[in-house]
Amino acid sequence: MHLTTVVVRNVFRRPARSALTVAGVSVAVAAVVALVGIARGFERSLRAVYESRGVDLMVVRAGSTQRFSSVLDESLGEKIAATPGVAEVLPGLAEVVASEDGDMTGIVVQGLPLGPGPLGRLQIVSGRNLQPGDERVVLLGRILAQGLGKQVGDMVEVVKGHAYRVVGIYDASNVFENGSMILTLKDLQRLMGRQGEVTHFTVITVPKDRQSVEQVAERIRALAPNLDVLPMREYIETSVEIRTARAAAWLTSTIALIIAAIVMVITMLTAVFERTREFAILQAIGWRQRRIIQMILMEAVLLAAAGAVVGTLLAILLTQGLARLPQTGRLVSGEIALDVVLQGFVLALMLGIAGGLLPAWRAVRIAPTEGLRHE
Amino acid sequence: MSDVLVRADRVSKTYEDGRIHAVAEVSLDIRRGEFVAIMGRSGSGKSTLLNLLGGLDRPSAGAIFFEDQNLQTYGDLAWFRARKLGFVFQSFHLLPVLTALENVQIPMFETIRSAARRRERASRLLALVGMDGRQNHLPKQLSVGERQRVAVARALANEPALLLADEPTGNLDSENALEILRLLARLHREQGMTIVMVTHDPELASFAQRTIQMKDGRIVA
Repeated sequence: MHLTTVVVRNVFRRPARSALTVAGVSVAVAAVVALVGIARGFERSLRAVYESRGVDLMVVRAGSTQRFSSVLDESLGEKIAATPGVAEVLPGLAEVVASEDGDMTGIVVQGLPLGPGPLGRLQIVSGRNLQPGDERVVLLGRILAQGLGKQVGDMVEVVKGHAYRVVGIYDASNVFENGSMILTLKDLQRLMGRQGEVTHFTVITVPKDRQSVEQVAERIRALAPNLDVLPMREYIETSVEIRTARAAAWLTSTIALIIAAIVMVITMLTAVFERTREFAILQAIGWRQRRIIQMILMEAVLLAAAGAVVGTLLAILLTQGLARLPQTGRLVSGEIALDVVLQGFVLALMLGIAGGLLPAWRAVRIAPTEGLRHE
Repeated sequence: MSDVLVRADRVSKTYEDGRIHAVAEVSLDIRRGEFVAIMGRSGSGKSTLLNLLGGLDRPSAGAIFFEDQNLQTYGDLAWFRARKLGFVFQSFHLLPVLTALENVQIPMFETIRSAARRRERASRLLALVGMDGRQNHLPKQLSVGERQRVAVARALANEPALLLADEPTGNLDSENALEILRLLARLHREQGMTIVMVTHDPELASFAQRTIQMKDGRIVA
């Protein structure tokens, strides 16, 4: 017999209480894995939008880390294009709208210039792409179209009182784009009353090595006052949306973890209290305090590990479910990165050790003669 | 090696800020191979004395010498208990989730690294107490008499120099009580085991070579 045998038997001795502990831990792990996983997935798909286009630099108004609040003059594009090292520059206008059609809020509308750029590279799965001369027409991302229940030929109210005809549905490789809609830049500027304005420029450079990209960024910064020129990765990581999503995920997770820790400590303390005499016996027949502490910690870690497994499964079910819901599908990819799962396991392990320490200390604090009298 | 295994030298144990004298200035020698019974009414201090002899408790005054070494000099009494002592309790105190064979292995965690050797020795000890047929039974599947035999086997796990038994038959009917006493007597006779047993039953005490009477924390006879 090994110590693990004793540990496993002890855990199964009170199935209901062990299940309660596992449930507490699993809820916390599920919250961490699902929420952090979703935040990460969101970040990943946002990055994929630009990486798939080979975008190196993002030009926005200084201080406006929230993309939608940036305002730039469209004519700046010509100056950027003339900068040495710039291979391609594209203006973009992004707005956030709410649709009453499908009861959805926070839908991103992108205004893109006609031509071979990102618009030309879109994979149209139904209908057609935007064409010169198009007015009051819109392309819907696959997931958004599903959520709104719209097909090619249907009308969509982009802004209250302004119905646009859906001419095509596209499928991008990420949930972020698939959950948004695209108008021509001109159309969106007119609709929003922002003629001659864009929110950002995306810049592709040659060559693409770090140093050259940084040099190009420096040149663009000199073109006009108050310009933020950021490498793509940095731009995404520092954006308010991503930071808010991350903070919200961790905030919720921390609360869940604290509750789990309390459940863990209470159930373990109860278990240890019930077994006071047993620990006294073990000490009387020669077990060192270290071994008793080790046994209790192993029991706690075993429960926490079971909680981590159950919690991860819950998180997968949850994100898969959210990815399928029309209200959330355009934000949740349903994939969870392995390192987020690992993070969940590490946290569960820490919960186990933290939750087991106090009960373990309590168990060996009582003198054997005193414990032997305990009924 | 001295003939005396355990010596209590003017040992006292007081509780609650010195008001209650559980054991008062007791001096006592237990020789190797002796079977001693400690008798007395409840509250006479006999269990406290047993706990002091077994290093479960430290005396308030005086000293316990085990094989001529003062127990006070042991930093870790658990080390001493694991290697030198076997305890048999009134209520058996087997772990309910472990089988007879597994219960006997518990004290060996401190002394034997190999799980196979622990198992092998536990099996041998269960045979010694006549429990070889019921190794894989849980305590609740055993009769009270059988449980106490398993507890005796567990007490012998690390080949102790001294076996301490605190009312080992207190929870047994007279037939089972006699069985356990015969087992202890056999261990004493055949293995030369030194045994100190606390009891309040004169009939059971008659199995011992020597009987010590306690009253109000002192040895009276």
